[in-house]
Amino acid sequence: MKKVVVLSPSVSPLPLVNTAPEIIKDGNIKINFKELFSSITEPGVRAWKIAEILSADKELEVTLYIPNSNFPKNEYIDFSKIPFYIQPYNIKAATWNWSEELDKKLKDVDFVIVQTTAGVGFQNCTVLPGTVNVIVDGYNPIFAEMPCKLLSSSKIYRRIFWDKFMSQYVELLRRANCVLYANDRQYYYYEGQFFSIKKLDWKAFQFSPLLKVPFGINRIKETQKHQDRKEFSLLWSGSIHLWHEPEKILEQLELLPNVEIRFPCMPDIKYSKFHHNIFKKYFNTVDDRHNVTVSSGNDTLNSDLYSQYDSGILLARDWLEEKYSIRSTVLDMLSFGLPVLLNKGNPLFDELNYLTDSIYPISSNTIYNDLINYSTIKPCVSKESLLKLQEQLSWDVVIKPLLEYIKRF
Amino acid sequence: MSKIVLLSPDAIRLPLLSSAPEHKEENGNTFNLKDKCSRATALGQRVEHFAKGLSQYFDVTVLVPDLNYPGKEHIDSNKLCYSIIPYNWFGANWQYSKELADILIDFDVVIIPTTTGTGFKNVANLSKNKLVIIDGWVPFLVEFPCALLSYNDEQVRKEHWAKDVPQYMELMRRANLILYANDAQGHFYEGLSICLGKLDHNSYKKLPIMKVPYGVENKYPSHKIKSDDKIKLIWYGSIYPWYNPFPLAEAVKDSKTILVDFIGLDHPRFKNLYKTKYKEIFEEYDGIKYTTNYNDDPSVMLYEYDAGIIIANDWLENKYSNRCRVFDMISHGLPVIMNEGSPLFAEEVLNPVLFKISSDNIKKDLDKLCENQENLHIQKEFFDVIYEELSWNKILSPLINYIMENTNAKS
Repeated sequence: MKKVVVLSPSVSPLPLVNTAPEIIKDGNIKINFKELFSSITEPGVRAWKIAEILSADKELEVTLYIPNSNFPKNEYIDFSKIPFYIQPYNIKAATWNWSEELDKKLKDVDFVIVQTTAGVGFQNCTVLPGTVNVIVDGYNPIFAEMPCKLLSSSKIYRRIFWDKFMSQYVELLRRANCVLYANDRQYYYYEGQFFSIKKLDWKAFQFSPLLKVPFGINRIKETQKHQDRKEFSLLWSGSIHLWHEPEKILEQLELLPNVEIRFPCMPDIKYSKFHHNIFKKYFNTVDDRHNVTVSSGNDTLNSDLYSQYDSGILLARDWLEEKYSIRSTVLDMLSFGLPVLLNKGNPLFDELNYLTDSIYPISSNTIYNDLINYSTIKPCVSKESLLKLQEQLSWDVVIKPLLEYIKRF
Repeated sequence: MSKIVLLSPDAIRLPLLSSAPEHKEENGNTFNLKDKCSRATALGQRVEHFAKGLSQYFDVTVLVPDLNYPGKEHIDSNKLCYSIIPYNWFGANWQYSKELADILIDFDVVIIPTTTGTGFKNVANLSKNKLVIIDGWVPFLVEFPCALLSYNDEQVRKEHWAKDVPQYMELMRRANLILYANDAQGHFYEGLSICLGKLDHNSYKKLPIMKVPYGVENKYPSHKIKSDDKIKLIWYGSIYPWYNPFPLAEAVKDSKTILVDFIGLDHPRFKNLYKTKYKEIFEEYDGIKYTTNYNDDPSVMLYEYDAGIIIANDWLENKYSNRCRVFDMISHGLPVIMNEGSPLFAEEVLNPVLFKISSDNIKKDLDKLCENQENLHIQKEFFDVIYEELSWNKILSPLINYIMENTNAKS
């Protein structure tokens, strides 16, 4: 039996037992139990789903490693709902460092799948013996995102962090037996990197060690019917990061009273000052704008929420990050039949070109006219499109090439 | 006025005077002068179009390899809107050339294609006050491994790579701007630039790359000349290691409905390639028409065909290719059939005139495509859109603006 380890750099959607507490205390601080141990994050979901799909193959013994800070006591975990092994690992020891603990866990396995986010496991995976097949999951092209993430830090910190990150990332890429990517643009982007770091050379004229594994969606059996509303109701897709541009939408909404928007899941705790700065201009306790709602970080993005809106929306800055982005929350919305307004030129327009009625282009220069236009035509996703989306992007479909790769050895 | 120099690594289509001799002597050998100095392949043609377009705004000089320079007295300068200077090609190929360095001193902007290693060392070491623009429309790193296949000895390939690629990387680091021709190339150069250290944590907005596709000219025929009931397809242009014409020849050799002619298979200068690798194989095919000569004016010939066809190996090279001959055929009103993998299929403006077949099912896919002659008949209106969007003037305008903004040539 082949041993496969999937290294999650983030909290995973762990199924909890009913007796799990709602709140726990850490000194004087109250922490939402579910948020800490069982919430949905993009890296966590990706790792979870890969483990889940691979474990369905009886030839593979799959273990998902979850950060110890996001691993509750065993008594709170509903193991009956988990088809693979799970284990905690010391994330602090394994982030930007070589961890002896992680080394012991990894060196006797056959395959390790490690994501290129956050520096977790980089050093460990780089020095694994040649008997271990290292699969680097580059679905999130970190070079495009990292400079944006660092923007809120000082210049010196950014320089030092970048140098450390670059050297470890490049070494990891060199070590990788296979690199996963999520959309076609990323393929060329990685190949350019490979030649630059001498991973590819004069022998590489036929193929390179890249495998497409898009970000998937769950197969949804039923979709909620959307409620009819007078206004054109928009739901911002997920959290807000530095590379997003919600203020452009907010500016126009002052002129469009029949368009309303909700920003759920605010604020992302790392950027709370940033969020405060965006929304402070538009809100105060005396003069609430009726067509903009900002709600707390406890929102659950699911069909109940989606059914209340006409469309999702996400507007990003025209930076490198947008060019290679995967936009998992957009995919989630689409999977429930909610159409999404998205930056013109986003890779999803190429990746989902078999759909004619799911994503709709907007841009910061034309956002006013875009909102008027779409409020008139009211975008929708047909059943046929939903079916096609599931055929192409369900987790079991997108992970199949990875399974086939692993089984080849 | 800013002075721009374009370093051509190969011949350009120099207009020759009628008094020019037929032959050129070189190192004891005799060459046809036109072959040497006036028959450009894609490399030289792109340089020419750039020179023509840029010379409307700047003082432009094209550096031509001495091997491909007939002598000033044989050039019809009245037909040129830019200057020509020869340079020692061997001296500048994969090595630093003092002669080239002295020539480049006089220019503000240097545009250099990233093929053949010509001028790499010189341009990589130019002072910072010069604007260096790399024309990466032929992605060197994916084509070079294919070109090295012409060496049977793997050790030789390895040595070439080890010696030559660092020069390329150095050149890329020096570049102020990198041009690319299709989106696949753009993403490739972004990835390359980041790992080269050219870009860093400050590079989250825009990168110093610019899309300059290969252009087209409007040479749509006033009327089609068609003398055959069969569907007539043309394979047009030299065969290089990354092409694979033989499955195509095999697929159509007995066809009663499809005719494929292989025209202009020989490189005007590197005639050994065809002779050693392909001649014998082509001679085996009875009934397949093939020619080796270069066509100085292919217009009349192209008008006889329903479509062009190119089959390349499904290698990395194909994924980034920007085949000049495709644009040449489109310029003449021909749609083009290619196998899967070409990035040109993603260029929306070209959608109406490109057809995709599978390299694993050439016969089946071709039969299906050609079962109705009308399938390949594309309305002129679609070509007109392409002629508008991809005219050389239009595609060069961002580059012209960039040069103006970055030199003292603001009007």
